[in-house]
Amino acid sequence: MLSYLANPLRFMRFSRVAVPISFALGVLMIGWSLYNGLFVVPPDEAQGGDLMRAMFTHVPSAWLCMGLYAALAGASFVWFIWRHELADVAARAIAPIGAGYTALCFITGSIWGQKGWGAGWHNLILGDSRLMSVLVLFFLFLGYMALRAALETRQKAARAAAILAMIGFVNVPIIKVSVDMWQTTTIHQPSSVISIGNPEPRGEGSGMNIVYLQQLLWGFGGHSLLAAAMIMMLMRSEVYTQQADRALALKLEGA
Amino acid sequence: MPEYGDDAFYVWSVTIAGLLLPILMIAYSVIKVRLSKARLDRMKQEED
Repeated sequence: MLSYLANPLRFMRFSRVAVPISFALGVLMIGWSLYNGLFVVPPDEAQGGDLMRAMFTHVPSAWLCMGLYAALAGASFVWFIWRHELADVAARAIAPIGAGYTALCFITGSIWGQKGWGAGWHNLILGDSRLMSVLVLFFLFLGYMALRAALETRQKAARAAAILAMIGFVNVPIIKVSVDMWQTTTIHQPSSVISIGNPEPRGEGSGMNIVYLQQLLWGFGGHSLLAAAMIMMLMRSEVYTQQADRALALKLEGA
Repeated sequence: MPEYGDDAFYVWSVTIAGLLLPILMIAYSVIKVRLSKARLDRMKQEED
């Protein structure tokens, strides 16, 4: 599938159809997740009663910002090794969407923390391993975009940014293990779904109830499809820009 | 509309932020693709 779409012409044909479908499915799935999360499922007293309904927005954005960084690093790796232009176009498109979802994770977490912990993230961030590692992720996305914009030629910018993206990937597992293996360094609750090195994160029998997990997965699936639609739109934009730049260069050569 | 008591402000603020930010990102993507397509079309028209 990926090698089929690696051809820009095929990608443009595919994305023309895939963008509206991905967008519509994403909106429906997010709507279903929020409807059930806000109006149908009962409150979980172990997680602060009705306040836990914030997780149906916060958790999908947290998963997605890590997933998008992994995609950015993967696309950068493909460009770096095989010099495939569409991989670079994809990496460039992923960065602003990843930064947006990381900002959403911060904003929603800060509002939730204001009530749940008695203090917003902005008051806790310096001494907390989870919050600090997510802040680093946000700066990595911003740094990637800034580096691309700062260098003169497209090849130089792509090379430097790809190296930054690949090195920065080390932060993704750090974010994950920060709440499971370094619990003394964070106020953030341990993982409720997949826990690394901590098989009983919240006491015996306290794993996440399936009714909450289902809504989280609907929300994550919906936001993933929405992000995919936005990334494909930005990739199309980049392809158009490159075509226009080539046309302009030919025109200037002929003049 | 459900009553969330003291938690209502926080639950709705998070939900609204969760809708607003993706809408802004969608708007950014749509505007960017429209502008670059318009530029390409303009270049092609000038060539013709």
